[in-house]
Amino acid sequence: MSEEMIMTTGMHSLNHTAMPVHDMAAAEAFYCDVLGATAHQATCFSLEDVKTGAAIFKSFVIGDFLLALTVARNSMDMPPPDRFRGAHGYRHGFQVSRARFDEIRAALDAHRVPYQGPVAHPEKGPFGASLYFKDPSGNFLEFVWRRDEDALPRNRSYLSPE
Amino acid sequence: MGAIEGLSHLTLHVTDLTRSEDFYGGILGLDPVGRDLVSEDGPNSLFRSAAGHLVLLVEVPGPVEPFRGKTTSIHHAWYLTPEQHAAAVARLKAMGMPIGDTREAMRAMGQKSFDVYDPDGHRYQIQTVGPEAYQILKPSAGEIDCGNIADYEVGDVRSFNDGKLYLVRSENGFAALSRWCTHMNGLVQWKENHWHFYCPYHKATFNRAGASTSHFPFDTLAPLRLHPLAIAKDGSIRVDTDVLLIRKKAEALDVVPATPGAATDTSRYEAI
Repeated sequence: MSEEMIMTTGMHSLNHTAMPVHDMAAAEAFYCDVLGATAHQATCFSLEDVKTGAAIFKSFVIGDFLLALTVARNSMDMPPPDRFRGAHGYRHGFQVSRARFDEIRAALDAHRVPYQGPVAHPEKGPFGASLYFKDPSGNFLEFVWRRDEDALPRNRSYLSPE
Repeated sequence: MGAIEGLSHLTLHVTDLTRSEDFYGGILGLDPVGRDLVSEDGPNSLFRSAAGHLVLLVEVPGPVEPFRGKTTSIHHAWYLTPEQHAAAVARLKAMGMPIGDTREAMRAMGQKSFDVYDPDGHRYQIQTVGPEAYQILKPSAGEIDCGNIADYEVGDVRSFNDGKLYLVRSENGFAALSRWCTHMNGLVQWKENHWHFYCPYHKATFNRAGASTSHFPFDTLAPLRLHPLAIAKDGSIRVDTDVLLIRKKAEALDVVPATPGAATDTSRYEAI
């Protein structure tokens, strides 16, 4: 990252997304076992929510990003099973190195996670190829290797604003 | 899996690419990378943050769905340096955009956050944390009169706002606990019905001795800091808010006996 870029941009980094899942246990198994996330703080917001199992918040760190998941059990329709490349308005793309892209694909196969791809991107852009898939609650996700990966920091860690 | 380097990009569906480019470049202040650099079904545009995270805007026929179903809490958070945050506040204020923080009372000192929405309703938190969040703060309100030992019953926890402290009467005596959380500078609150102090910022909890009772990752937090107190011959209690006593763990000797002439043994602590 050049000093010039740091001076001109108005935002440092994307830090986290708060988004819903249908089942926290299934989400934790997916994000930790398949994506290698680490689970962090968990909170129930009120006694009534605890009783009903709703509004539970749990956070997961994936590299330099945090997903803050909440339970919304019955209020989200699932996307069609054969749709992988959508976005409920948004989709998270996680970077893997080109050298480990096949390893990532094999891991999805091993965990029986259906996906679309690899989809190649134009050579004039920073993306090489992507795999598109979903978490158990139908949130759209993506693995991508980047043509500019040598210019990006390695072993990035989550920068907490807290 | 362990092969993920981190977030590459956030893809967002938008209904008017040019309008959204104006927002992400002109209002959020991201750097434009270029148009149609990614294989997508519609026209697309890339923007970059200082740390290299990308935002990919993809124009779709619409309407877009920033919130799935009835779930309205979905949001994405940007982390800014304090300088970037100040510039963003000035930029958005000049544009007449509302930048109020509905949860300001729950923030730690130096932590700032406000929400903005893009033209399609995608919600963003704009956050920063200044160095004052981690500085050890002293109220510097001088010596505070906290009443007489006869005024307290065992179990009482009284707040003294000027001194940002709670005076706790336990079976063994008195302790003056600083309200500044030892994680970051949120102000802990006494929750009488739960018998613990609670920091609304990150939900850390402390018992009446000031020891952390939090779950991971706050279970290793240092105890709440102490202010030295002295009990005069007439039983009046005075707390010195100009001095903070740092402790690694809460101990029985932290409590000053409820007897005239008793005082905190400041030699046991690192004093600030």
